[in-house]
Amino acid sequence: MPPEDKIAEISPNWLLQFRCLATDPAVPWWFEVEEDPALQRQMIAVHLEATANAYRALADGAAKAAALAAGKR
Amino acid sequence: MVLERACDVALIGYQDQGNLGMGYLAAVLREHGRTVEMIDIRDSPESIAARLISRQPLVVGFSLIFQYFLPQYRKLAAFLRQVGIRSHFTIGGHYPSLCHDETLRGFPELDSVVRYEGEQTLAELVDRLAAEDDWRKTSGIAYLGDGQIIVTEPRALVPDLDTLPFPYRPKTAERIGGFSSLPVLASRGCARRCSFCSIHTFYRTAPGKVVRVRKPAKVVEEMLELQRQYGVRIFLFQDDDFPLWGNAGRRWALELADRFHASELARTSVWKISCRGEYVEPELFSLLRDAGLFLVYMGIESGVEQGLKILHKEMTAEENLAAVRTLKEIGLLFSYGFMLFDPSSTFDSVRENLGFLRKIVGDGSAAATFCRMLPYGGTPIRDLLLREGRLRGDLTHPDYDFLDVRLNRYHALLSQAVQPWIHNFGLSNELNYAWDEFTAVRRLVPGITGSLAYESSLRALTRESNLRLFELVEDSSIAFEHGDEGPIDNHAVRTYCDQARGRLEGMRNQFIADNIHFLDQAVNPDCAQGPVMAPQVH
Repeated sequence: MPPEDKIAEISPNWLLQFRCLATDPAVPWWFEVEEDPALQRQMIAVHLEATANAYRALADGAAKAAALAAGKR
Repeated sequence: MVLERACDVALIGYQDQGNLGMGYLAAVLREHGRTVEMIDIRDSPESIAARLISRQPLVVGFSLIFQYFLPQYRKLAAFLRQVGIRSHFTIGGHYPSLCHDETLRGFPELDSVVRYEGEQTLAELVDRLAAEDDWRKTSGIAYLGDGQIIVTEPRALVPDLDTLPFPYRPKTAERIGGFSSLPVLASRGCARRCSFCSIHTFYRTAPGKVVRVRKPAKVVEEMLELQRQYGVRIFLFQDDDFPLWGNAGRRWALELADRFHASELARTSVWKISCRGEYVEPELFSLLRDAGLFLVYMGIESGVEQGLKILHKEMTAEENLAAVRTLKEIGLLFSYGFMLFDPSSTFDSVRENLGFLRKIVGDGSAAATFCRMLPYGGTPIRDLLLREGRLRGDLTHPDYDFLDVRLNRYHALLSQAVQPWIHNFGLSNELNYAWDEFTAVRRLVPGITGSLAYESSLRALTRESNLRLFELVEDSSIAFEHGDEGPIDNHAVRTYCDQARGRLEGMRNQFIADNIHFLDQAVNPDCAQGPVMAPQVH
């Protein structure tokens, strides 16, 4: 078994993450793409769509939970 | 529909290593009965807006660590205004405190700047806004009134740090290896006056005592609390300058070490400090090592006397070399800050600096790293460069010309070439991470196998990587100085670094996998279940 698979199986907290104690903060994606407005617009659209999907899923879940609760009563 | 909890204050900033500044602000606000949300600036603007729009906090506070991020903060603030966030916008940090006028004029979305230590000022600002009182009367702020910069009465620095509550830490701890790790502060302020650093101007411009040190008992109490809550095994002291200066510093450190032993922290945790090399002496640091100290970061900055002079380090290259020698002799890991390029640099001094770096890390005891000094706001060297007509760049990307103009172009080419080493995820950083992790593992988990072999391989790879980097800088600087301006072979550099990274990952994963059962046991006893970590017996 490759060592990384063994680590993942027994204690995934020990998987390699490579963050140095003195490392500067990583630059977020929307900082990095600042110079390319077209790409940035596309990425914002992707984020908005993903966020909207997440909210839709939450709303569906809440509605189903409410229906279940109503059925119990 | 679930109603969202109200929030009086939203603090936005980097959450790396916990962001203690925001943690202290939030803790004091909470003590004043305020609800606080802490937001990572790296979240997307849309998600930040989504969290704030329905809450309309009284204050949105931006915590600015690096001035070069100011445009991004402004962009976020503009976006938040655009989507209808009507809160009072304020900002704090070194740069806004020292350059409040530039900040306010360049960042019109702001209502105010909170200057210097912000705990009491922010609490008063929020109180006044909540009471619909005149917030402009808050001490310690600056704002624009009718186009004029208005500065209110300065607020004194917190005289006794132990009167502050422990920092609020809503995030989970970060990890080094599998060990939880969080930052702590034992003091604030620095007594020195390095010309490139804004810390001393920040503390000296505000009224009050510059250096304040917490009682060792309170530091230990907070650390034990962090062990209980988060299972922290690695503490990172983020002091401006760990307070070891003079007899008073020594007495304080010895009391701290005694308390670490008495509380078991010496056995159940390791800790890192940042300090000046002049404090390093074998007897004191051996005692600190036995109390859990495992890593010492030093701002060495230059190996050339002229560089140390212009940077006003008030230390010699020989003193820094002696500090490194001592740390190696007593078995402490070290890391360092180093400015290969400063305003006094010449091709000769760059190579002299390389010679110094070869002396300290040519043996592979730590990964080589360096940077270029930048003239940040509020620093004496920025004023000097301005007077000399050498200041370049803009507010957020301040820069300067070297005296030998060829060095400008050489530096630009070199910075591209060394990126695969010196970058957030560059080879040198990854090697240093591996050293930090290995040293913590060796100290905290007795009984691990293969540590000598892994240490030896890690040292050999670090040495090889360092020498390769030094060779690149040395050879290219000589060639460039003699008119060969041909580009450095960036492809070969990237190939080497990728290949070395692969070797590093392979050896690290093998070492961890060979010991994974020990390591799993060392981490899994849950600190939340007891007052301190149970001792590890293997």
